[in-house]
Amino acid sequence: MSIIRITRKQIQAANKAREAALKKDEDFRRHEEQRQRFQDAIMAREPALKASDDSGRYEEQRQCSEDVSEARNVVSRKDLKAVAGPKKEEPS
Amino acid sequence: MSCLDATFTLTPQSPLYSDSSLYNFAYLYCNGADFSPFSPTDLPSLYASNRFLFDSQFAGDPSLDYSQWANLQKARFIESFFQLQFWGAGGSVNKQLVLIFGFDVPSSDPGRLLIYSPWGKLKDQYLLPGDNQFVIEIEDLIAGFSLYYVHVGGSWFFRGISGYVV
Repeated sequence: MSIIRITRKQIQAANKAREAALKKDEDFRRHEEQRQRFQDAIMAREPALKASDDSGRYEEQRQCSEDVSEARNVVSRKDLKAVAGPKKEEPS
Repeated sequence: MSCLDATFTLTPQSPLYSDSSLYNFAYLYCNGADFSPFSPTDLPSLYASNRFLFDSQFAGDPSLDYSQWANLQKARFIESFFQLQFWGAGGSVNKQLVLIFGFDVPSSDPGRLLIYSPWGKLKDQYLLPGDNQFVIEIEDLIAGFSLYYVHVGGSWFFRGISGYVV
């Protein structure tokens, strides 16, 4: 198993390179701004969800979200079968 | 012998870890993966097995410099972002992060990844058949940082990344 080591200097260099790229590359800056908005949205949402944890609602919402994902998965399998239709007989 | 639980595990179905009370985050972005109409590489199978597929036919050019955004944005890659410097009561002082990158290789051809930071290439990593993980050690958690895993060869499955703050 290979092991890759990243040093403090490499992290500092990476962040300097990122800062330079943000100044130089408009496209990259737009991408990063969008990402920051995404992170801020999570920050705004998470404490509110966790605050409701006393009544179990946070866990309930999380479970509900998982159930919806699973239901979508099941539905998509059914849909695929419906679209595919019954198996055709091979011509002899 | 007992093992510690991972601080977080990021997978296709669970790509976000957040401990917002401490402003600690870790998350995954996937910018381009593949699926086929046939099991086990169809989307329902990949979802059920919690994996991303990277197909050899759509691998990037290993000779390009992916620290350049113009090259990276046209490649297929996974990004992991970590912001863990506000860890615990003592903050990130003397804290390290160990990441375990999990994968599968379905054929006899190895997969190939280039691991980048915005600063440059860290490793040209082959994903060998029969192997299923490699380790990345981060010496210090003084700042948030991203790692990019660029798909440049072979067909392989991404399973997830577990992180241990130690």
